[in-house]
Amino acid sequence: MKEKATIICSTSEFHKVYALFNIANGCASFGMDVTIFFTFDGLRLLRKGHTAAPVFLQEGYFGPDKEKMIEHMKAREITSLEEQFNDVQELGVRFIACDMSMDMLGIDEDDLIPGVAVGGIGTYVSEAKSSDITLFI
Amino acid sequence: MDDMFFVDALGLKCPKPLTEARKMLNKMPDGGIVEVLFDHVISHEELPKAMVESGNTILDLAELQEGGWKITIKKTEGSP
Repeated sequence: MKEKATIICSTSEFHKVYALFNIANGCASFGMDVTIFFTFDGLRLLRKGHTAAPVFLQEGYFGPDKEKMIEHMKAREITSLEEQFNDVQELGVRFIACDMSMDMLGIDEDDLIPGVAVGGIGTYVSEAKSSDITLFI
Repeated sequence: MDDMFFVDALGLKCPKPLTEARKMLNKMPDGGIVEVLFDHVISHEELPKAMVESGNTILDLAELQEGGWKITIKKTEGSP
């Protein structure tokens, strides 16, 4: 059976989302099955038109220098957030949207990008129980 | 040779040598062989680890004259 990684994403802060995709790509590169469970502000990443576009992400650690940091990353040829996201999708990382957070924030399934499953805490627990790595971001 | 594949990850930084190798591996048939060129220093340790720990075989890891490395990986049957 393949090893598994299950990650909760509860934020849309730039540096944390970057770490999320980087870790997901690392796990997938080691041949693991990777699932990301998006909850609260993390759901923002799954909304149509918003995904992995830094402009929609919160400033987080870099504060008002977020845009400057993105330029700096480009100059240093560091993998962009968009590229990390494309790789996550290409490597088959599974996305689950938290049903309760969707209710709370008034987000419908139609608002989400294609290929996202909707699940509750039971889905997360069931995945996490059989995972080799679990993280909360 | 039909089962020979090639990835050029020269100049790419973390985690691209890993993800590019994995993307190719996912597309290849069992028993296929891929050569990956890369010059990201940390990947020199991490790429073999990612491949071996997922059950694949490293056939060769050679230093390139112009800098960087070429790793030759065989996709093992049943390995992710």
